[in-house]
Amino acid sequence: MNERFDLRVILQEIKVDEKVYRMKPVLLTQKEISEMREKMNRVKREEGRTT
Amino acid sequence: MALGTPRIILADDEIHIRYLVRSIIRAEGYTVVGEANNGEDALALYRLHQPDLILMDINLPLKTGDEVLAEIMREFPAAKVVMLTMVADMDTVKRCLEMGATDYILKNNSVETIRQMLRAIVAGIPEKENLV
Repeated sequence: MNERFDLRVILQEIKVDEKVYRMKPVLLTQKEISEMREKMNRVKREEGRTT
Repeated sequence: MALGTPRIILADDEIHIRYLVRSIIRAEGYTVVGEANNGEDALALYRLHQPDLILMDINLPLKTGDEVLAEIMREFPAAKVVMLTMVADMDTVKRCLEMGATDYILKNNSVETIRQMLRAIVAGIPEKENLV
């Protein structure tokens, strides 16, 4: 076990990994999509009622 | 539900998907008034027929489904546009719903689920808009 680790390289790799992770799109299921649609419709209805 | 037959346009570049969805639509007793395999034709057909509903993919050649959605909503604010796609990323779903898509259906649903969702959408179309 005489492998040497350069902390700066590891930190750089973590940064790159985080960037890739953040760029990865969040995929939704049909249930989540339907819930999002319901929520948006509810907000629209409530906004319509108050105006 | 209305007495008339709902008139639907189908826009998808995959012939097998069009075949499948057309079968579902016809089995429900609805009428397919036009089919498009690209976004420009979808928009042209919408302007021509002004159907009760358009079922549209996102990844369409020439003009994407979300671009077509934006144009349809600008010209016909009461339009019923349903996205039928495999694109499930949150940004796209949110953008389409905010632009006014009536619903957003994933193609990987079972045929029965798609059929039920379609029925629910058609049931929500006001009668006067739903006559041939």
